[in-house]
Amino acid sequence: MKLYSLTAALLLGALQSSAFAADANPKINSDVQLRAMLDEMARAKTLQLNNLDKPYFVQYTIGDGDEVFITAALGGILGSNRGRSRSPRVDVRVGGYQFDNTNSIFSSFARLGGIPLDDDYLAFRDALWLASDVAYKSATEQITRKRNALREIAEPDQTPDFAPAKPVVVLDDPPHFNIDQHKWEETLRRVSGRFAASPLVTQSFVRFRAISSTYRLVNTEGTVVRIPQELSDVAIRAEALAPDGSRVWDYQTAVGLRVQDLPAPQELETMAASVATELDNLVKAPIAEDYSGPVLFEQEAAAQMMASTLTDAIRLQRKPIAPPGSNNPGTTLESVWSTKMGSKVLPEWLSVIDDPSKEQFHGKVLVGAYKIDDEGVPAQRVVLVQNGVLKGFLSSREPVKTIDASNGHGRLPGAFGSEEAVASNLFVEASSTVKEKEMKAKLLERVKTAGLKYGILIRRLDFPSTAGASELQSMGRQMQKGGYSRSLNSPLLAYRVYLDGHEELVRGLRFKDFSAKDLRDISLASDQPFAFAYVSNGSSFNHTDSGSSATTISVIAPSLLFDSLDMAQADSEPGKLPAVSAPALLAQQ
Amino acid sequence: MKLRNSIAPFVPPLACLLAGCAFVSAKAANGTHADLVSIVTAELNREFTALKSKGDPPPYYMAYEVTEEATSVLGATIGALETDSQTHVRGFDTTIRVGIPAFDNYHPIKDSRAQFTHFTQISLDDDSNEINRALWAETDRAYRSASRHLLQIKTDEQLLADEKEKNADFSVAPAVQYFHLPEQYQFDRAAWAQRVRSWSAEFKSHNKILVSGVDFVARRDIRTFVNTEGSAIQMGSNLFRIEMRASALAPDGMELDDFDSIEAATPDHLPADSVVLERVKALARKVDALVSAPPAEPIYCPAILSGRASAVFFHEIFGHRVEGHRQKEESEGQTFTKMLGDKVLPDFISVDFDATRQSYRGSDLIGHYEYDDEGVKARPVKIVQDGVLKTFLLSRSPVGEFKESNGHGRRQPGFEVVSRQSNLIVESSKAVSNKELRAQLIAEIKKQKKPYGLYFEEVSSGYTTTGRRGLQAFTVVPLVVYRVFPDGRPDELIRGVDIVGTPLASFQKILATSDTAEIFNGYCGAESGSVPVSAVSPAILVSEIETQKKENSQEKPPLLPRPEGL
Repeated sequence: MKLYSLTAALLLGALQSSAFAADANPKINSDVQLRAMLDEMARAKTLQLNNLDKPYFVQYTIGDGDEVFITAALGGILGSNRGRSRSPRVDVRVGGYQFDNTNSIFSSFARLGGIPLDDDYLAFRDALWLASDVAYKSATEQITRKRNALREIAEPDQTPDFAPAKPVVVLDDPPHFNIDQHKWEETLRRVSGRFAASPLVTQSFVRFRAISSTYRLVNTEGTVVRIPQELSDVAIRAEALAPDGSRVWDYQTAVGLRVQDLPAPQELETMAASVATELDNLVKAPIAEDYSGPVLFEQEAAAQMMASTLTDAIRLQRKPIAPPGSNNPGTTLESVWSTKMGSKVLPEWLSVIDDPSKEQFHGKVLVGAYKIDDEGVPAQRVVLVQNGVLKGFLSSREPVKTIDASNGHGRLPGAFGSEEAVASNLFVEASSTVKEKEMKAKLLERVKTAGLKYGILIRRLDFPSTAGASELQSMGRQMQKGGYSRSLNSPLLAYRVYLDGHEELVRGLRFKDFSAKDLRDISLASDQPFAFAYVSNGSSFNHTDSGSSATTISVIAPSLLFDSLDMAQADSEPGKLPAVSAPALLAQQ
Repeated sequence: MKLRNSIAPFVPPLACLLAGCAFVSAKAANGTHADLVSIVTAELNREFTALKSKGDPPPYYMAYEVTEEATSVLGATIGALETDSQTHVRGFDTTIRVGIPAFDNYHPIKDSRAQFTHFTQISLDDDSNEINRALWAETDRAYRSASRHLLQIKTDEQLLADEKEKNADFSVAPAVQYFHLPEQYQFDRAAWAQRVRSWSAEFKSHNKILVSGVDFVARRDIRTFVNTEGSAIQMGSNLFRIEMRASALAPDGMELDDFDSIEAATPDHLPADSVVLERVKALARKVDALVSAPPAEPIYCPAILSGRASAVFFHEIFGHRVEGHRQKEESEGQTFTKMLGDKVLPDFISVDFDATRQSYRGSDLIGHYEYDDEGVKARPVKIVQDGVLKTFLLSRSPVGEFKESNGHGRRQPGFEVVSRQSNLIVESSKAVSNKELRAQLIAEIKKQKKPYGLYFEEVSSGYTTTGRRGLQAFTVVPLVVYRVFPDGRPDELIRGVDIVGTPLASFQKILATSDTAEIFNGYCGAESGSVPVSAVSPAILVSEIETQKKENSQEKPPLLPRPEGL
């Protein structure tokens, strides 16, 4: 049995008599990592430098991951790596729930470089000991600077800094990670090789990723958590040059929790074939013109539109404390619904519910399902919009305005010491619908009424975005010129639908000013919801190359029709075509 | 420029006991990736032919360099594995020269050093579709960038006053064919994981050492180079490296660290486990001693730099200043540009750069290579003979009277080639035994009436500014330094010493050298990225060295005692 110094032993006694008895739980006792975390945390709570603030809350989390990552292009493997990693985080808060070292521009999380891959009790204790020391010292510095900043502010925000949470003990078994890397390499060679039959494709890749992680959390409130966190996806992207020199691209992705959730190799080949066909069509498609009129978001596109638009709308942003006159960055865009509690934000026949407890929808895995969030708070179902009226927001343990408790949605690291609230399974439910196959006719009715030649039908958005650098710059320019700060990810597949019903694919179409405010103008929903799974980095644009953390979300929404939206021709400057023609492709076996 | 990492002291060529069990030579892989060479050559020729007829301006030279790197790392701290990674990457760099050799897109104008290449990852399978497409797309990008830049600098040049010296931008070099793949070794990962665990566990008994670790790195790289002059080269190397590191905080908050490393080009050159363990133990003891050592005071006094310390000294204050491109770029200080044929070092010192040298007295030199990154064969180059500057380190960028490369055009993948160091070897005709050198130091201390002199045993890295804007100064970071007293008292370890000074002056202060050379293997970072280099030098006695106090973090040691059991 271990020996503790006097203070540590006393503290551990206090901990045991609280919500649970750590050492009494055999599952904890047999988990070396949890044992080391609990033992060192008990000591960390006693940290104090001279008469400076003491910690009132200490939390350790460790994501213990096993990951396989394979990328292939045109039948060749670019990289195939398997690795284990453990990413620890140490939070030490000084002060109290009402006022602590977070939520100021001086606040940040202390990040610990690494922690051993071996379950070595002493090595764990040692790493946590040093990290807690650094985190505590940095917390005392942060709270001092925050206090100094506050002296200059006339009416500071009185919202508490941290919401207490009821302690929970959840000890699930670590997931089994069974994956045949070589088989997946073969699959990726085959799937990516599909593009060797498409001479127009200039660049393409297929990426496979599987992460199987065990998330451990302990905190001084008494919460002890061990839960699986898993993510698997396949992404297929291809790019081509249109005859005018502009770049067009297409992207499809399949997201699951476990590898078994992903499509079979044969289906992935079909997916690649459809990306190739869609891209061929895009290259030949005419350039879109400016448009103002009815727009139908069909199935996948409707779910993508809601996913992007709701990201910032359904959570509240807290402004960090900063000395007056300093450059206060503030991270994310403020919710356009922040002052709309109890008001109508959607048509009265639409509701939006976030429900992490649902694991399946019509036989499809819902990737947003989880039991406990990253702050150790049990996941809760949240009614966000009921019959068109805004009823609530997603929340983490960071209090914002009227929200004083977490509803278990802290799923990504936030800024200034906070955790960001992120959706899980977002259900967009319509109480009044029309049949899916009648939606196009409804679109045309409106086109006719408006006296237009065609309407716009969107089948896929660039969400998550894989836009290239020149595309991003051009979008930025267009937003700046148009004088708006919020827009929607561009369509990848947009069609003109003429009055006789025939469709014409167009390229280079973008949305103008667009935000959750526009959702009030949804005029019809279909009776067929589509479940869209994606990997989120927490931003509404959700570019796949940005952000260091990611989580999985499902959005379930029917096709949606807007009576009128403004769209514009992309303001891009196509380059000259290459002087040298592309090398000939050899047929693949 | 920065040189980091250190030290491959004498590794005895033991009939290594562990080699048999840990390493199996997978195959005598002296063949080639013939497919890769032919794929890359075919696309190069296709692009060159097409661009020559359609490009405006057309290219006159093109090259591709494919680099494949497989790296395994196993690292442990206080007995527990903390790193277990394997990476395998293949990518390429593109060179396109447009214009004419006398003035092309690489011509240095004012402060601009153009970057055209962009390391682009390609298939690990020798798959022509993927590789060809990647070469094509990237060549298009690099060609656009090169031709745009040439037009720009042609205009810029007309706006500038005439350059004093007209140097051409590219020299001729013979076409070569060379194919030699490095041996492919497989090793028992579990056994190596166990080794690093047990070596790192040694630090457990050193309570003052806060962070420590032992890493084992095995890397195999293959470079495939083809150019439009008909050269085709495929070669590579293996590197096995054991790194040990430990750091601590002195009671006043000064950060103290030291490290040691062992490099070998083949697994049978690695020392026995017990030798590594001894080195770990010695490192731990040294850091412990540093924690209780007194802090240094600034002083101006005579000193001895050990062989390894002076190897870094020469690399920084001398080596970087004889790199060819520094003699022709306007922004450079050009310390030695006009000093060809002049005495730049004491007349008993000569300096060679010899990339062909694989080892020095049984220790592998990591600055070794057969051909440089422009496909030029490596050769020994005498830079300084009896103190007199003879030539510079040259890539295919001509410098003054030197119109041909001497095989020192190097880069890290993703960077443009410039002239870089290889294996620097300092030779002395005024060599005395270590004992005699020490006696001379004490005599010098007495002569100068100084309270003590200094002995620099280990240094970790150096930093030097060669630019005109910066101060022409250098700093190397000593890790282990002793005070040497004239009255026969034992040497005293001190902590927190930094060397400062101006380069030209310090060369003149070398009084004598020892007769035993030591080796410093490290990675040198500069304009063309990080490249492996070695420096070999005997210990040197200097009449004066200026030291300053090291910056102190003033960080408080951990508030709580170390967890029980350590």
